[in-house]
Amino acid sequence: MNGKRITRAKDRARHLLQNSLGVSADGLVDGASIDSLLEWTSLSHVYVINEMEKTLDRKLDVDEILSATSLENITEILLNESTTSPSLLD
Amino acid sequence: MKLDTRRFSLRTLDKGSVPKEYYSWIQDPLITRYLEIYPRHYQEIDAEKYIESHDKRSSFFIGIYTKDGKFIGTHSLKGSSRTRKFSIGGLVGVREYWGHNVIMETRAALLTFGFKRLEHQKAEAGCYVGNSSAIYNFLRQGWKKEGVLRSHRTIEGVGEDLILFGLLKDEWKENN
Repeated sequence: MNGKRITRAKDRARHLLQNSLGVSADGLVDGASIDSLLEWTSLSHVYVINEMEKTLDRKLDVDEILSATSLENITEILLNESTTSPSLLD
Repeated sequence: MKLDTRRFSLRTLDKGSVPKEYYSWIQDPLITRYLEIYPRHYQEIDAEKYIESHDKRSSFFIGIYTKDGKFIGTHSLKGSSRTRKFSIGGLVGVREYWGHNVIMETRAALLTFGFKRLEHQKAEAGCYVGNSSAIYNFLRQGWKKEGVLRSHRTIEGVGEDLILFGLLKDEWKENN
């Protein structure tokens, strides 16, 4: 069950990054981050944060904003949110 | 001071040498949205006072130029030999250069200048929480969050937190 939730959160994070950065699914390997993806620029980071806020339907707090720098961290934020909003990963 | 990076040149400016574009940038709400400037209240004389507050020994007001001489932005570097710290802040006024790593590349040169030439131990800076591009730049450059000033300013009717960042000389050396 937990494994499924993690997989769903990662898929959601991958989808979110694909939309924000305009990259293909192939480009979003595990470990993808602001340091590894050329498409993840200071401008496209604005889209990432906007897309996350749209997904969560709320403003991110400072620590979330500072950690939204990799596929894994964004997955983690979505997972945490899903404990209070289970439908997020439907 | 004159510094060169791969794509840009940095030159110290004073009241008499600041290109007139600077004064139009600080009246542009989109450019100043996240700066400590309220365009409606900020006049040319305020900008001149600000520029003059840089003594060119420990503090510098710096123009960012392309290699072909186009003025595209500014930095301010203010240091203290007593505390061995310096603060740094910049803006890119020409929108076609937004998203092109101008601040990252030029600030790197200023960090090296501050740590090596001025022999400071720490750099400080800050940005508002809604300024995602600036946050990205700080994180990629290895700065660490040191604190948050809550609802530090009201932007478009909403209180916005100011994130304080710091970078130590050793951290900079490690990554460069």
